[in-house]
Amino acid sequence: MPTAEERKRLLRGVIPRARRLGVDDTLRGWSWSAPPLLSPYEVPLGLSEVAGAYCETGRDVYARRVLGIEAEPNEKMLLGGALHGTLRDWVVHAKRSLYACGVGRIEEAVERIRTFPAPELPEAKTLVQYETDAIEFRIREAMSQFPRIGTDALVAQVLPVTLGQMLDGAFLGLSRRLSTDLLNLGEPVVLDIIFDDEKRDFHPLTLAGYALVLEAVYEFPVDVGLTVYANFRDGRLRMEREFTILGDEVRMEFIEARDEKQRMVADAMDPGSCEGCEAWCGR
Amino acid sequence: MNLPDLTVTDVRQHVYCPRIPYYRYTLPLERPVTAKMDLGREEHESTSAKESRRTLKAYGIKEGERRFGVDLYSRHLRLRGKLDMVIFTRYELIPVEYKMTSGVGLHHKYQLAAYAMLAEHTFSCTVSRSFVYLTPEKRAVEVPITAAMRERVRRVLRELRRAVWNERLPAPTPHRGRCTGCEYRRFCGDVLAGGA
Repeated sequence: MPTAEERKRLLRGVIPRARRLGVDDTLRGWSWSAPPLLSPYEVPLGLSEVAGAYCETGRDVYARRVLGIEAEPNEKMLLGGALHGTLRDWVVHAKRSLYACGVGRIEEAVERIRTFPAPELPEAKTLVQYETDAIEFRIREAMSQFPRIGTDALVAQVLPVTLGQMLDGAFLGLSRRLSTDLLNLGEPVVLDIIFDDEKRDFHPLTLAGYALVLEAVYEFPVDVGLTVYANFRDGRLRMEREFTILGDEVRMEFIEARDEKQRMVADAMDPGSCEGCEAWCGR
Repeated sequence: MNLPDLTVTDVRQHVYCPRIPYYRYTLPLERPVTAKMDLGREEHESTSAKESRRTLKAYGIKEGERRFGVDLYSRHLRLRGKLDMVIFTRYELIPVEYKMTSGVGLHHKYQLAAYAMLAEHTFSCTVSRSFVYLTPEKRAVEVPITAAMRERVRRVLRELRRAVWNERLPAPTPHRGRCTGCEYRRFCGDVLAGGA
């Protein structure tokens, strides 16, 4: 959840600015049946394959899709997967506890949330501890601010997230089984949680891709995305949140990346390996 | 090959279809002029004459000085252009382009962003917005100038220079409808005009 300052920045700065800038209608997901969104190739890639540029030349996609080589996941990918899994389980547990006890037995609900089994992984343990403390604060804040709040409204107020929303990316020539996280702050905000990594120029492409797919499937505008960078240092969780206006430029960049990578796979063009391959790269 | 300075028109055309400026720089041809282009030029000249007699009401501005046909150049960007009109107010500088269309396309948007960058380099100021004056509708549409748009223009310039330097034909526009009235249509043998 964003801090009070971030929420203010979002509601008073980012969202109004996004509305003012607008998006060209040809770059809204619902225009999927016409160029430039119309996919020119029958190569349904995963969204992370299109948006990810950890491998600069995109040879990872070529290796997987053309050569049929599935690279072993590296340490970072394994850690990220485990933390995402823990967070997903914790959110379900917290929502279930709140619904089971209801606003009438809120102290019991808080206690119940604390019974989430401590994960073995130290980073996951830190993450669960942080989220548990944070939700307790948010519950108490909401209960004092809205004394007559109902159970369902309380859950929406304190945990306004949907983790792992399934989407059919076929409209944009992508995989039919995409999964994204969403933050529901009055209007849907695409959420991308990145564990143990620095900011990269291409991270906003993931947000743009999911916004386009959401617009194609549900036909409502998605103008803002949020990337959460969660890093662990000395047993402490450090979080940085970056809001992105999903304007024309980042959408065009996503579509260009999609076309380029699909062309590479369809025509089996080896892009060559990249020079500055990162040390943790699993290939 | 010594690459010439690029123009704002190149930026607009690259966004419209990357092959148009590519052909202009790599083919030793007289640029064919279409009827649409002739009509556009005539309309442009008459709009400039009328505009000088109007107030700034269409732009929501009370006071400001207007300059027409302003030549702009940036050595840093190696880019030049001639802007239809610049409005100088006490606090800001606003580029304006006249267009004989009923809507603002992406290519117009990045053309204005390129003009804004040139104006910033020429007049040492920051441009935060611009206008497209739609002549058929006699209506001005505000186009905010953002950091992302400036970055896009820099990217277009890089792509265009790389394509010309390597003499590598860029992919055509995915909007095949645009090919119908294009002066370079006969050079794109790999493109079927009219379809998607």
